[in-house]
Amino acid sequence: MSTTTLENNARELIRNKATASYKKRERWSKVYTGFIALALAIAIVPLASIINDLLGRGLRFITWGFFTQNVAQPSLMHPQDVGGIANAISGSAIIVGLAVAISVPLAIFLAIAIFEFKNRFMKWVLLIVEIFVGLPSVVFGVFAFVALVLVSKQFHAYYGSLALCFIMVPVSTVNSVAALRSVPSTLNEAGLSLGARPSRVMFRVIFPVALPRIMTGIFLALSRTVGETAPVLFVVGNNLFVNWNLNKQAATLPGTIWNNLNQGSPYGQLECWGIALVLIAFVFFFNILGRLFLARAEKK
Amino acid sequence: MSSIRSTETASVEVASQGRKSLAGNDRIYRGVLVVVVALVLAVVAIFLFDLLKQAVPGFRLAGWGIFGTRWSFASGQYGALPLITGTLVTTMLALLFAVPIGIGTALALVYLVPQRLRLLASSIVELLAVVPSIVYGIWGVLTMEAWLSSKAFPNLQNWFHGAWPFNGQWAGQGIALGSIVLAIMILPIVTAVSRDVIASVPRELTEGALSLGATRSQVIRKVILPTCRSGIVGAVTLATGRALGETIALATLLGGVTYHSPWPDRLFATGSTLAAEIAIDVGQLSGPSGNVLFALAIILMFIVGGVTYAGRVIVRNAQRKFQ
Repeated sequence: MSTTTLENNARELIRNKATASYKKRERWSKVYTGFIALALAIAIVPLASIINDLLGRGLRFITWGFFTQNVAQPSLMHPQDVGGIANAISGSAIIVGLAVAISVPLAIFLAIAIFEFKNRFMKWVLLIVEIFVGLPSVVFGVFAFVALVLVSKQFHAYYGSLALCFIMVPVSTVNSVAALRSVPSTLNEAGLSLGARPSRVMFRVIFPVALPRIMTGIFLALSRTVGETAPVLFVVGNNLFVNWNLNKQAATLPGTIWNNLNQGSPYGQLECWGIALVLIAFVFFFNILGRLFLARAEKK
Repeated sequence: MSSIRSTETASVEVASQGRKSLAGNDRIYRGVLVVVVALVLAVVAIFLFDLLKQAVPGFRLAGWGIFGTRWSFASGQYGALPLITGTLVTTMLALLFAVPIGIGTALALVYLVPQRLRLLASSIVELLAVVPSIVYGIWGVLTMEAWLSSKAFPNLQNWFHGAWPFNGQWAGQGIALGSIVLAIMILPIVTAVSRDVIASVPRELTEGALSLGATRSQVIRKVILPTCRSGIVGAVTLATGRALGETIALATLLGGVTYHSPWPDRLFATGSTLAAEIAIDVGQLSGPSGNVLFALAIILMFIVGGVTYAGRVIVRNAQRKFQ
């Protein structure tokens, strides 16, 4: 049965109409794709500028002296003393170190508690923790100030650690709870059905399985905590010298940047780029370490 | 036979014990966990109590004037409305910039970037999301401010012939600088989370749409974005929470509420946000008017809490629609 001219014409018409619509949609598609590419380009510009400034203006400060000398103290003897940030590095190290030492066990045990006690009360506890995750860190800073500094009328380095715990514990807890819950429940049930005590099941079975994900979360929380300025700034005072004593005041990397920006000399303001470079190096180090950890664990 | 019996009943007993709350013969475990929870709750209680204890005198000091329109901490005027407006304005401007660009960048990362660069690009975006805010403060003050006050602001003012919002006196610091830097700060957050959501759209959906003859943009607009809606709302909520609470960067960039600029009514105005003002006036925390700062903190917590809650409600409703 050969096709009639009418059918041929109809088919021609439909094909042309479809092509026309397709052409029009393709044109719009190119416009939208252009928008997306433009968004990417706009996003890259400021970030490239920041990286450019960081490296361009900050690298010149990265010398051996930068890490080993204390903050500049120009004097008659040494009017050109440029100093370094050794005091800030030591301060940040001990403050963050103590914060981690307190936060990690606390977060893990709290997460275990939320995981094991499956009642309504603990649901509220988890909700409270999740709310704390979203609170601005300055709120914890002022709380630490009134609860610690105003009461004792002194500044101590470990006050900063306690303030940082408010930031590390909620995030680590929420992440650890998710990690524990991601372990297949069959493992838990198998362990219990073999007659093991719940604590043994937790520490021998569930916790090791969840550990990679927990560790990653802790590294990520750590990378965020290292850069936190506000809560620590209000409670640790300052220290011009290298200090490993938690009882004394301490300088921190972000705190030194803050002081330089607000009250410092022009040199101090330039120095901020170098300090920022060191700070970012630590932040990235922990972040990358955490993600490498996770990738390796998942591969197994 | 009987031994198998007893093992069965024993294992059933123990299994059912585990399903309930922890058994009595694991007392140390249970005890430690209870102590930890009690400790944490005690700290939370002290936190709330102290915060309120400090804030109430602040509210009383300012009276209902806390919602007044004049803020001058040094001279004792505690109308916080300029600060609240400043917080909302900077956050909204930042979102206005960061959300479209962030979602567009996320789409570009998933669909435009060639396969080999994808891992590198995603890693860069995630690293940028954890850059400490003080670094943005440095860059804003030392680089962006100079560029804005010498190039961007004069040109903008000339171009628009002094029309709102580009009117009036400009300095380097101000709402515009703060909002731009804030936008750049939350951009990686929006991009990273959106990218995860967009990349997790099941392939069958996109392939099905393409096989029906849809163009790429139609696939994105009609299939991917609606599917990702709740995830993207979550990303925006996260970004908003961060923007509202941003303290350090804005403290260095906003320039404060001044006599000449008591209200953030134009782009070139200076101003302050709740969080930034707390950081700036922290020296007065122990002084007689320090309590007002706690009142500011409480207001900020309410705003952040409200926004986060609204975001969660939206996400929950969107997910419910799916089912």
